[in-house]
Amino acid sequence: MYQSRNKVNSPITWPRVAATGAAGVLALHFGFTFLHVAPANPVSQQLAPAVGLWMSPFFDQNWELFAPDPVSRDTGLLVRGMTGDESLGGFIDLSTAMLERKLHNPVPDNLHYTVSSASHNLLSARQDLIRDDSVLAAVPEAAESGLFLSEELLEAAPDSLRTAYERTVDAIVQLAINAVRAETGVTPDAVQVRVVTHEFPRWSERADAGVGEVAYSDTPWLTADGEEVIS
Amino acid sequence: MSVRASRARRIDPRALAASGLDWLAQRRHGTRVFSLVRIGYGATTIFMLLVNLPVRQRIWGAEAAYTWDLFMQTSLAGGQPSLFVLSSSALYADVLYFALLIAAILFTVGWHTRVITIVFFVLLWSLQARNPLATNGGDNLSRIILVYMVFAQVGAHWSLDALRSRRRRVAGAPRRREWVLGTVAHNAALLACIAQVCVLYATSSLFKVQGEMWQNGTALYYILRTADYNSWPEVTALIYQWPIVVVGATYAAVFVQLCLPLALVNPWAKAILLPLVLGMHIAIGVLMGLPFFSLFMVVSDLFFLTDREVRLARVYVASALSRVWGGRPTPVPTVPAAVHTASAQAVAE
Repeated sequence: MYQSRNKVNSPITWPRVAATGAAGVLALHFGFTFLHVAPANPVSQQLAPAVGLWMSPFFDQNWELFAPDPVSRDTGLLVRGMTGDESLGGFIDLSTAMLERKLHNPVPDNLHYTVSSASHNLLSARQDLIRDDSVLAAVPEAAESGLFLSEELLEAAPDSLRTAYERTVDAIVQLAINAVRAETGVTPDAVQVRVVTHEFPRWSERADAGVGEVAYSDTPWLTADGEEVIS
Repeated sequence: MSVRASRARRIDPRALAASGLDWLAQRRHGTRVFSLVRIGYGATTIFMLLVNLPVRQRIWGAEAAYTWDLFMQTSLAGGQPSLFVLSSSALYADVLYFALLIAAILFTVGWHTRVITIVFFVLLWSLQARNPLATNGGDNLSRIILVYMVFAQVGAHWSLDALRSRRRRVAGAPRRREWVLGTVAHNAALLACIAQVCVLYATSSLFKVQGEMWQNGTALYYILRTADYNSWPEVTALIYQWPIVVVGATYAAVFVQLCLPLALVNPWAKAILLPLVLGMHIAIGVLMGLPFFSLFMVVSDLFFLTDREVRLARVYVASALSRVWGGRPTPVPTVPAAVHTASAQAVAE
């Protein structure tokens, strides 16, 4: 800085031109990054296509870690299958097996994510749909829907939300088919998925070691394509 | 001009801009920090791959619940390329898995780092895209940082590349000239890594302050009680019986994340915040059973350090070690810093 006077007299050099270019790229990139991670605002909505194109897929990111609020319930995933008219046994509990892999294990493998992410993704994709304005306009009673959303409701939804939901359903159906096959040795024609949610005791009842409130919700019987079985 | 210059301490914006541009173009900064991050990411990936070795086919291979067809329909349609598209066979999945393991080892030891950084990124990205259900925030951050690292010189220290170039110099080979565009790209990559880590902490904390549980100080209780993240229920049950611990740690987590970018501009802030955030990530890694997430975050926090601090820490650790082992004290370098800088540059390709 002290000797900058001389340099300022002949300010334009090739390294400085290159540095200006790099500074411009950084400003552009982190401008887009800001719009990508910030909550939707008039500027990000206007520039959404450009931001999406720039950030996806290599700079995609989401840092809502335990935010705005951490989940305050446990989610369990159970599945069962059938072939033709024949049942392939009762519900198989996928989550407990994963929790047991993690319990008292300082370095658990990544397998547990595949079950917990599947049920969390299904719940959050469903939540996004039933709270969407265009869905609520077409289907006012959307909030009372079960895990598996009706075709009428999906048709009213924006494409991106619909696709996200259908993909989570496909993923969870595949998870179920694999689990039933592993358990029974038979590939099922149809599977049923049960998501158990367990609101554990609130802060004021934290001394309560019990399970708290347990609720569950089932999908109808679904084929491998994620279509409802009509009987 | 002379009138302005005579005024006391007026900041000259042109001089400021020029010094900023010269910072980018004249010399490569943070080569030690980059080398540490290289070793950290590489070693964490090796560790992760070894732990997942027995279940690799169930997560990324032929037995994956996230089937290859599903991956082709969703990941690929979602614009995520991956080498896994070429074949659905178990053998091919294994080939990619072990290729990634080898790339991670070469990346860690710094062998032809320029090329290996790209190979490592492509293979790691391919694996993560194969099963998005099995990734976490640590994977997300490290793969973004790796994109920036492709543009940086990350093998200047503690690497086979550095060893090779030192040998060449000893043998009398002429010093390689540094390419100016390479220097600009390197420094821009360093700024990008620092900015990316700051984006993470700023976003994470600002979303938290909007949450009711973070506001009323009970968020940590709910996190510790969630079965998915409760590896040591006996320990966490002891922790969350103490309101002062839960409330204190809940607020501290938010404040530390919110203020961490200040560590870049103030040494006191750095001395206080950096140990706190390291402690937070270690606690997450141990109590919540998320070791790889924790390690990737701790390594990424190294971007808050400067090369000078890394050097000082190294001297300090070396002298502490020699005191403990009672051996010959390590000579503290008496060479002027300028010479150090020059030799660090000479190591550059």
